[in-house]
Formats: sequence, structure tokens, C-alpha cells
Amino acid sequence: MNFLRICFSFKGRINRAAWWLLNLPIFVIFAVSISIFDSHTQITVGTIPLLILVWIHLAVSAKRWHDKDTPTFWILLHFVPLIITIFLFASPLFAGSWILFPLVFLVVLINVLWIIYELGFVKGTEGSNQFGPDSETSSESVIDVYISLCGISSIIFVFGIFFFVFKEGAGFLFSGLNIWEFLTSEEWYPTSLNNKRYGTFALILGTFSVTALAMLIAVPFGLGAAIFVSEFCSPKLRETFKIVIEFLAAIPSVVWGFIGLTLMNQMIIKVFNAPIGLTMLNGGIMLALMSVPIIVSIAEDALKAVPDSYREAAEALGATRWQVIYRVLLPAAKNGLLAAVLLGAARSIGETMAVLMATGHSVNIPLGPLDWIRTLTATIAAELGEVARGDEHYQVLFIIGILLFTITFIVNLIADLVIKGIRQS
Amino acid sequence: MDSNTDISPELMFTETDIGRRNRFVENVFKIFFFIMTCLMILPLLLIIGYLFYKALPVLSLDFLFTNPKDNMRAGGLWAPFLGTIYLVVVSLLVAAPIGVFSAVYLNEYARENWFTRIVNLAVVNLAGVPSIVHALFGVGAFVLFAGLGESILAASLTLAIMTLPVIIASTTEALKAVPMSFREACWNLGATRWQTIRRIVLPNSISGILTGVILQVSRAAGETAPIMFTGAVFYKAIAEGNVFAYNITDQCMALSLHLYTISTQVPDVTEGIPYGTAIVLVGSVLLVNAAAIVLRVYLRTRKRW
Repeated sequence: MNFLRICFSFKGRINRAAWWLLNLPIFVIFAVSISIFDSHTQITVGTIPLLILVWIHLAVSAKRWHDKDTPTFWILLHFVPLIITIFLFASPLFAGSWILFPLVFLVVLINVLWIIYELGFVKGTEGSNQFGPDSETSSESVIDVYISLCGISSIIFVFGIFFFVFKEGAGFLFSGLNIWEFLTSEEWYPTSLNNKRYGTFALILGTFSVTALAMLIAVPFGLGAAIFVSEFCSPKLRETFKIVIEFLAAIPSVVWGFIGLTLMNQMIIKVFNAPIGLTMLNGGIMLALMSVPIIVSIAEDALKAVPDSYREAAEALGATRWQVIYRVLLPAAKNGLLAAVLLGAARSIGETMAVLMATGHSVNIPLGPLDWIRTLTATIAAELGEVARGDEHYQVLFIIGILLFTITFIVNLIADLVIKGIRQS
Repeated sequence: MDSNTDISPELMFTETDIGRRNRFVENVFKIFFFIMTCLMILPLLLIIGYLFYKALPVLSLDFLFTNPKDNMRAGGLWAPFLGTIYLVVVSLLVAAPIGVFSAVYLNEYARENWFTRIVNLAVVNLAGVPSIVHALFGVGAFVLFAGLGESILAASLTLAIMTLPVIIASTTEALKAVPMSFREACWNLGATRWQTIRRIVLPNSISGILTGVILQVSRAAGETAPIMFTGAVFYKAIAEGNVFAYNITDQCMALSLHLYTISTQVPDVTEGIPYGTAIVLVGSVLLVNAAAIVLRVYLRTRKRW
């Protein structure tokens, strides 16, 4: 039996698993809609999907009754709670006699529980009966559909993210926003009274400069650590290092921001004799520490992926370990290492809380590492809470979101192509 | 050939100058890379030590079980701590089934074709979407479009989608580790695809799947940006000691947002409280991670193939 038949047909048999798999989501959807829609909500288009769900529930339940060799009309039992409830509220017979209320409630409850017990827990007849053959594997097509749905959910979510962010920002993007000015002007005055200007150049520059600084710190350390862990370590030490790197990756970004705000702030003030330590350097160091674990783990995978025969061939020719690394491994793994750097950079570009707290958060064209900056991500985080919905400023923040989504999408796409490149060659 | 046989054994095994220099270079690089690795790890210890040292005056069980007081300048962490637990549990309930089945699809159902490549690309990109863009998506999709309002439900759904790739990645690893011969043996006995997955593949990869689920918890607990505008609030008083104090349609406090608030938005916070909040957050995240690692190591020793 295929999936659509199982959902909509009143013929045939199904097992308990199929009944649960189809009914649980229906129950959840009904519970959620009842809790969301209050009595003031009018009957709208939303009820048509709900009616379809009722149909599915009845069709599935009928087939489950068949499975227990009971005729189709037993699904009328499912209407009992509804009928009783309607009577209770509509009929003058019940008006005012609230003594009936708990009694009716009890009857409805017993009815519902009994249906759930009979359909959800009692096995159908063994072998075939008058409604069809044994139903043992009838839930498989439902499971297959569910698993496929979960499988493609990532695609749905990625499109959903783009769609909903785009939807909120689209109005201003197509009417009124000067895209050239948006990208190249450094004047970010979204709350000015008479002359609002939405130039994100300084923010874009802030994002990229702090990312570049972070990569400048993180790439040598990350690649160095990856080489050490993959080529020089004993297996036991390697395990320890990998665990520590996992811990480093697990520290939440807001904690990195807090470290930048307190410890790193004081250190920069002391070391550089700067008036304030919340600078690009501070944010860069924090981002470097955050992206190093990604770089290490992906770079190590890339080094591991180089076949051992390469190493053996080089060592057989008398090469030392360092010569093997420098002449054989690095050229062979260069795509994977590049992907590691790209993914580390993507992480830095998208990071929010750490840069919001550690970089000074002030619109500025940075001239050196001790200047304060402001990034695209931090701008959204700091201002979204203060704008009115549908406002120009609100929509501009969503347009910045689209910009960020596009940038990271492109970087990730390139990294993916680079990784795929090694697999094919 | 002749010239080779001429070399005496002593000479063959003495180190030449070039060999000595090469070995020296190798050792220099080995030490250099070792120092680099240590320099990367040092900050972790330094930071935890520093936070712990600063937080010491406020740390106590009371700190965890009392509400923030006096406009968040004093008191404890009960409301944010409980809020984080709510967010994590609800997001886990959504993300775990979708993530595990998504990995099952990619590993057991999907064929090697262009569509599967697109699905894989989508997973990679979902992992790469900035957290603040997830927040914007949560506002647009759950808070406004679905009508959930700013609530624990909306924030948890946002977190679930954000952490989905974590579960997918580690479940895929776990499923790949189950030898193909196990599946083939099962198919040959006449089992269907789902029977094979349920009876053979999932039981043999449950350790890896659990590790992924635990890592999702640690990731979701630490996130700030995605919950900022979808359900977490700066302040909300709840009953102390009552674990059912939040409703799923309510807004809640969260540890990560609380740390941001008291360290940047609230003046004159009692010295030590932000550090205490940070150490509680880091501590719980690292504890959860440690649990994942212990589980992985334990189950690896029990592996039968």
C-alpha cells in the first residue's frame, strides 16, 4: 500500500505503528492550533487543512478497525465526544445544570482513552481477514516518507531561512533603498531624525578586517597544531589534544565576549598602554580562539586523508619527517587545508556575541588593530530589539541579514567545492 | 652495485652530516609545532582558571537556586538557569528525531546523485548560516508568521534548526561506522530496509547517535543570538524551586543572555556575579561535553567489530 492510500483510503488494513505515526502529528497540530487560536479567531482558510487532517484521522482509524476485523462504521465512535460537546453547549436541556459537566467530561474521557487503547495498543488479527492480508509491514511506506521528509528538511530550512529573512526586508529593498549607497557609504545613521542614512561600508569593513586579523592569528596556530596532532603525536597524546580542542570549541560565544570585555580588555590596556581595550585586536583574538578548533579538526582530517603510501614512499627514499610533511603532505592536502581556513573564516564572519562585546561596537573605519570597530552581525544584534516592526530601519537590519547569509553561503559553497575537488582527483 | 658493496657496515650506519642536520631540523619543527599546540590550549585553562578565581566569592548552591534580585545587581541564577533547561529540552525534542532521521536518509536511503549532493550541501550551509541570521529567521518565521509570539516554543524551534547539523553530522559518522556486511546479512534474510535499520543499524550506532545528541545540548545551551529576539528576555521573575515555573508559550530568561545583560547593560552589578554566571554556563556546557566524550570512549571499548 502506498503512502497516499494509507492516508486517504477507507479500504484495507494497517498496523499500530502506522496508526501512531500518522495520528501523533495530527494530535500535536490540533493541540497547538487549539492553544493558539482563541475564541475570537474567525473560521478562516486555516480550517481547510484541519478538515483534511480530520479526514486522514478517520481513514487511518477505519483501516485500523479493519485490522481488528471490525466494520468501517465503528469510526462513528470518534464523533461521540464532538456530539456530546455540541449538545452540552447548544442544547437548552443542559443549560444551567453544571452538575452534568463533570459527568459528561468523564464519558468523553473514557471514550477517547478506549479508542486510543483499541487502535493504538491492541494487535490486529493474525493472517488475512475479510478486509485484506496481514498488516505487519504496512507502516513501512509511512516510515519511508517520514525519513525522506526529514532528509530533505535541511533544504527546506535553508530555503526557509532565505525566504523569511528576505520577506521581512523585501519591501524596503525594492523601494527606497539605494543599494549602491547601502554598500559603499560609511554613514550609518539609522535613527537620525531628519536625514536617515543606511550606509554599511564601515560595518562590512569592520567584519572583514576583524576576520582577517583573526585568520592571521588562527591560521598558523591552527595548521601548526593540526600538523603536530596528526604527524608528531603519539596516539594517546593525540586523543588528549583532540578532547581539549573539543572543549575549546564548546565554550559559548557569549563567554568569549565576556572574556574580551574583562580579561583581554585589561591586558590590552596594560600591554599597549591604550585608553580602552575593546578594539579590533581584542575581537580578533577572541575570534581566532573560536575558529581555531574548526581549522584544526578540518585540517587534521585533510592530512589524515592523504594515503599512508605517500608517506611510506617518501620515507623509503630517506626523507625525514619534516621533509615528508613539507614536500609531500602539504601539497597533497592543500585543498583540505584551504577548506579548513575558509570554514574558519566563515565562522568568524558569522560570529555575533563575541564581536558585539569585545570590539567596542562603534561605527568606524579601522586604520589599525587598536581602533574600535563594528560588525554587520553585532549591528543586527544590538539594534533589532529597539526598532518597530515594519520600520525602514527594521527592514534594513533584515537586508543586512540577507547580505550576511549571501556572504557565508558563498564562502561555504567554495569550501565545499574545494573539498569535493580533492575527492575527485 | 659494486660501489655499494664496498661500503663497510660501520660506515653504513654512521650518521652523515646531512642526516644529522635533517634530524635537527625535524626536532626543531616538532618542538615548534608542539609549542603552537600548547599555546592554543593554554588559553582554555587560563580562562577557566581566571573565571573560577573571580567567581569564587559568589559560588554556592544558593547562587543557583535563588532568583536575580535588585534589578539583577544581586541574587542568583534560578530563573535564567531553568529557562536555559527549558530551551534546551524543547529544542532537543524537535532536533533529535529530525536530525537522526535526516542522517538515516542521507546514509541509508539516498543514492549517489545530484539531489543527494544538494541535500548534503544544504546541511553544510545550514551549519554555516550565522547565528544572528537564524535569529532573524526565527523572528520572521516563528514569532510573526506562525504566530507563536516571543515564546520558549519559538526560541526553541530556532535553536533546533540551528543545531540540527550537529546531530546530522555525528549521526552520519555513527551510521557510516556500521559495517556494510551487517546490512547485507540482514537483507539476505529477507528483512525490509526499515527492519534492517531498526534492528541492525540503529542498535549498532546508538553510541555515536547519543554523542551527537549530547553535543547538540551543549551547543544549544550556549547560544545567545538566536534566542535574543525569539523568546528570551532580560528579566522575568518566577517561583523559586518550582521546576514547572515556565509555560511553553511564555518568555523566559536564559543563562547566556543573562551573562550578556549583566556584563553590558546593567551598571553596578555585584562583583563576582557575572563571573559566577560565566563559570556556571561554561561549567554546564563542558560537563555535558565531557559526558559525550566519556560515553564515546566507553562504548568504543565495548565495540565488537
